[in-house]
Amino acid sequence: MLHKELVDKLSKSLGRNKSDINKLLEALGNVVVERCSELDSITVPRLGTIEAVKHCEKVETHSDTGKRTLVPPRIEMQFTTSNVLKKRLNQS
Amino acid sequence: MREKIAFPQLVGLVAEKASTTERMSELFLQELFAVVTQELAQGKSVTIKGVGTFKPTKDDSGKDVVFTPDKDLAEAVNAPFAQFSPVELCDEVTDEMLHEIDAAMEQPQEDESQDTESPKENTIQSQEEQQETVTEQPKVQPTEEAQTAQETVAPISSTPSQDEEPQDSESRNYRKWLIAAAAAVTLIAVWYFFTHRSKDRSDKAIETTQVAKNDTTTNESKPQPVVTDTIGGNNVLFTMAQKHYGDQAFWVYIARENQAQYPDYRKIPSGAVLVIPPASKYGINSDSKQSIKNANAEAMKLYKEVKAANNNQQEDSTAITKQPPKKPVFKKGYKSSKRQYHNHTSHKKYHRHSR
Repeated sequence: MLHKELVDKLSKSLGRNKSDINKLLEALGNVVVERCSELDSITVPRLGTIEAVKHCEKVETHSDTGKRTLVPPRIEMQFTTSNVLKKRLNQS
Repeated sequence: MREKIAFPQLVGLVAEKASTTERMSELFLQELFAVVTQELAQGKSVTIKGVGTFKPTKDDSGKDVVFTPDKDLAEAVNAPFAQFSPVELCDEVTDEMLHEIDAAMEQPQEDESQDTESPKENTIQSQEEQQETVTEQPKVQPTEEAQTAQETVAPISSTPSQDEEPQDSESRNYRKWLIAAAAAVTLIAVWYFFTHRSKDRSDKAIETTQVAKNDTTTNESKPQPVVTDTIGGNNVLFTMAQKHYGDQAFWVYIARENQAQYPDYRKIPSGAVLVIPPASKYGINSDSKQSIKNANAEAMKLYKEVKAANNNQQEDSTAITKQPPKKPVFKKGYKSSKRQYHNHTSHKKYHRHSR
């Protein structure tokens, strides 16, 4: 389901304008960005947990050439599926 | 930092961002996540703009969901590290050297924390050090007169309390002359000390601007010297912030200070000399969590500004080359399905006949 289809569906089910739904989705995106930048995790019941995991800088060595590279730190976004959704997925 | 945000808290945050009621926000989020789980259960993927794509997968352990973050989200979250890229290390760089760099990065924090704990003691120590340096220098190159004067003054100054009263008038006169001469020589010596002391101070200020910055508590009335640092090699905005402010999070203030010269902080050329603003200008305090939080918020703001500026530049460049559309384009539904298109035209005809 694409973003546009999702907006259509939500506007129908909630009886709201598409602009209102877009505004709320944008707000959700901003909240996710802000909180994940501070390495917080967001838990959504029956869906799962979105969390930001920081990987520190490290030195990697190439197995063939032996060259060493200093890899900068990065923040990775991870999603952990809830058990409820896992069960539902495996039942279907 | 590393806080778990539950659903009610998320509802409040979204309501605040969208400037709507919490009830509306709650209904929206409940409906959104219900739709997402429903679609995933049916084996369909769901894309939420600004968040990412949830896609069901199947492996040996069973079905699961894979989340791919939106490009904007991944970029925004990694904004503090945007300027870094993998660097190939030379053979000369050993693991020990890397450990030393790590240790050096940690040291300034400890030093600064000590500074903040006992600023009074430090100022006293620095004053004492200055006095020591002042008193040491004249010893190296004093004139012979001064030396003789010091030697002669010491026994004379101690005489009145210990010695017996002089009996002869000749000896009295001799002593008076001796005291006068000693006083004159000491005055010359004192003048000599003070002139060299002021010279020393000025030399010190030129040589080490960093030291002058730390001792602001002692000479607040003096104008602060401009601190600069050159970018290049391992010395990037992050390391500069660590070095000058004690925390990497404050790199954004260095970028802000030099924004007029280098609008995009990710494209500062190597060898560029950057002005390091004084910590008081932006309220920088590495011990304060709020200050670090403010710096992160400022970094986010700067990132958005730079990104918007880049987008505007791209739009301007494309607008020049862009040609006006020649034909009106049908909407997706009409273009893809002829049947709908005909239905649409017949609908119009029907109206015409009815009139």
